[in-house]
Amino acid sequence: MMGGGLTATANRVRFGIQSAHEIVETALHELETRDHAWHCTTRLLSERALRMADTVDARIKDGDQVGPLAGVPFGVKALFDLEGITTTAGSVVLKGNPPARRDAAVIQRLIAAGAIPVATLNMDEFAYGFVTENAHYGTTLNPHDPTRLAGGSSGGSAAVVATGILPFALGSDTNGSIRVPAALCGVWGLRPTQGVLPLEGVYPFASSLDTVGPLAARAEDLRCVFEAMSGTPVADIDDVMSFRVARLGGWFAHDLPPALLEGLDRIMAFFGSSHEIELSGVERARSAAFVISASEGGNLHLPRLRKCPMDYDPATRDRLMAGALLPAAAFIQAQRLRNAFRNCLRELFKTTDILIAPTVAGVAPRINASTILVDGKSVPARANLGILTQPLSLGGMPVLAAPLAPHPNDAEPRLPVGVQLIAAPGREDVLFAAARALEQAGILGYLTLATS
Amino acid sequence: MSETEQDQITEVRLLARQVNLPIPVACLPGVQANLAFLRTHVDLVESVSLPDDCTPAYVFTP
Repeated sequence: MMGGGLTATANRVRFGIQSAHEIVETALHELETRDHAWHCTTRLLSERALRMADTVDARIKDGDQVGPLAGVPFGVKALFDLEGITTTAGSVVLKGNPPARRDAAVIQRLIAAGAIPVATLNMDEFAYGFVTENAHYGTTLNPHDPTRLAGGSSGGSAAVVATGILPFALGSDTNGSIRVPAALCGVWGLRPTQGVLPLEGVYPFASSLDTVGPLAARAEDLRCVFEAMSGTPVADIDDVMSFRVARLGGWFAHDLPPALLEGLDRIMAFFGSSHEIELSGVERARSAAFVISASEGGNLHLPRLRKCPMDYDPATRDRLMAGALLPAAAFIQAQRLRNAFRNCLRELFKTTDILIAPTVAGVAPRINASTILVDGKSVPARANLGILTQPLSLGGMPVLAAPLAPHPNDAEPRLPVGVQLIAAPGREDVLFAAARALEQAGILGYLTLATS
Repeated sequence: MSETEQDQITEVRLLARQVNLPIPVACLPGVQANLAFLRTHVDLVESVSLPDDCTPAYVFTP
């Protein structure tokens, strides 16, 4: 429904070619009639969305400026506040909470830019997982192969974009929860620089590492949405060939399938670089992220775990309880290690503009076999799909998750695999410039269902 | 349940008591397994020697 990207959609609305009401009504109808196949949504915001669309149409009629995302519908991971609705964070534990008094800060900014939230989206309970298998709201299926996982925890967000029904969605990323499902569903996602986007009105998981960001079907759409969310235009960089690009080896080079290796080679060849860097302490960085997440998540939920443990998704409950039992010494050491790792990365970015790494070491796992192979061992997907994203969360730098384009020589369509582009803190402009160039070169980008 | 497993469950109960967290019996094996998993990560984090001036990365802007 969004041919030409969301800028084209917004322009059709702004210039009166198509009404926001029609666009939103179509999106709602598509979700209502087709989403049973994937289970991306947990709630449709039909009445509110149509009312907002009518307001946009009325303002255009009055000659008002309605913003660059005029009439563009989007979905919201179920941990963002929406005025008048109780935020569930993918759980039933919070159902007694009062409805949110206002929209989350980033949603307010998107609405100010003309965009319209139309649905809440499925996730792992309290964002604690990489699979979007939720005991309360069901499993979100991968639109490219419904026998496979969509990834998580922002699985509903990635999957709904992959269906082509919505052009963008919001997710959160603590350890990879935007990047992992983006990779498995073949869409774009951004974990912005830690702290650059406000978290007001976003239900926390591990506040030391929490970020929010967009997922979209195209690099340019991702950039437009990020600009609206941050309230600041992203600077244009034309000379992408001057970027100093390096590929991460070691930890990031294990168990990669041929499609990923070939894609990484194509990216490096595009930039004319063969530079490979082995980051030291990556495994410990991942462990530090694990310990911080478990400790902060466990502490956050401790009062409710005392009162109503059996209301939690069993997979989440046992992890949160274990986290609540960790000693303070482990948490503090992890936070010290975080500073050391961040300093190491700061040094690295003095001589490098972009680091390239795979996002997930393979395609989406099958739903009935929720394990993956790591170094030849079968481990649970729920905790381990983020093995390549989690260490990078510790540094706080921006990471853009991008789908690799199918190779021209592929005999038949293959399932999505993705890469991470990593830049120095605050340099989202570098990432978007590289992403645009690689998309235009046919190296990055994957089709959504509606455009297949 | 082996003696080792029984000891591990007893330890989980003791740790839980320290934070006033009653753990339902049905949850004990799952919590124990997750705690054992987390401890492999704690061991890795604690295996690194950091200088005294490397402070924790708490985020606090007054």
